[in-house]
Amino acid sequence: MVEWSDSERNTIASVWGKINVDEIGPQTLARVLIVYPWTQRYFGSFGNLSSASAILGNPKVANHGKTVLNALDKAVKNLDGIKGTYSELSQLHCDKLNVDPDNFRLLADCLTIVVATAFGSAFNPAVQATWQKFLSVVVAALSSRYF
Amino acid sequence: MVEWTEFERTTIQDIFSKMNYDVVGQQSLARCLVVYPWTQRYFGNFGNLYNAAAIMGNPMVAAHGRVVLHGLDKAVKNMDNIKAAYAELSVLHSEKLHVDPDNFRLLGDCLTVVVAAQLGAAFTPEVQAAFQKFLAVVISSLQRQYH
Repeated sequence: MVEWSDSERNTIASVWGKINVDEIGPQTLARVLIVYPWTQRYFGSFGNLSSASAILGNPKVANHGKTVLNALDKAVKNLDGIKGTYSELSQLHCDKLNVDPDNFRLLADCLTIVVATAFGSAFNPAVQATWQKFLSVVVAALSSRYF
Repeated sequence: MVEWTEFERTTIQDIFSKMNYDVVGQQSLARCLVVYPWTQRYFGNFGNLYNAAAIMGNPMVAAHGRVVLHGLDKAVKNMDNIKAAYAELSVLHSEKLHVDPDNFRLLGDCLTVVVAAQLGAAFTPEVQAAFQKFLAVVISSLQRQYH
């Protein structure tokens, strides 16, 4: 099981508490689609993804970004049982959505970058380390039902 | 050969011409050692790397971070032939320093986080895409001479 120090728990709660999910979710997903364009293949029904500005202005991207970020709340509130928490979501992504689990890491990377742009120097190395540890546990949990 | 758009060239030149190499170099290397602690194995003679504060304050880390960042200059000034520009450095890292090439990506990621934190909202998705493309080319060139 993953061990969290008190300081890590505080850091995660603190960062999450300051994040505006409705803003950060859309930005994160948009960046994934722009920086790693092959990920657009999962969103064939989203309409116009033909340029960075189209992606940034696309309401379906924005909505879906919010959905994804809101789902991270589960993990923040269940640090001691992230794997169990995401068991169903993992199966969904594997069996129904057929998402290559590599993409979870890409999304996590973009989220880290968005958090860094929002927090500036407050996103210091210790905070970064804790945040990346949290996201890698989430990524592992989401990948856990893939065979 | 790698193709660069005008936007990409301008973005890369812009970011590096405004960069404080001392700060960014130290921050990037320090973050690497904090966030991916196994990388400390390459710096056995750097003294105290015992915790984040020690790493952040360590003068050898700062000095070496600066060296590494200046090494990026070669790529910034030779964007049309990064592969050739890094042939020697690649051999050095492989045959003399025995650095696992995976670490180039880790350092690249930390550098991206530092630049994102500094530029804030100016680190737009398009800028991020250009920057990450540049780093991917650098990393690929550094990995090239490994057998």
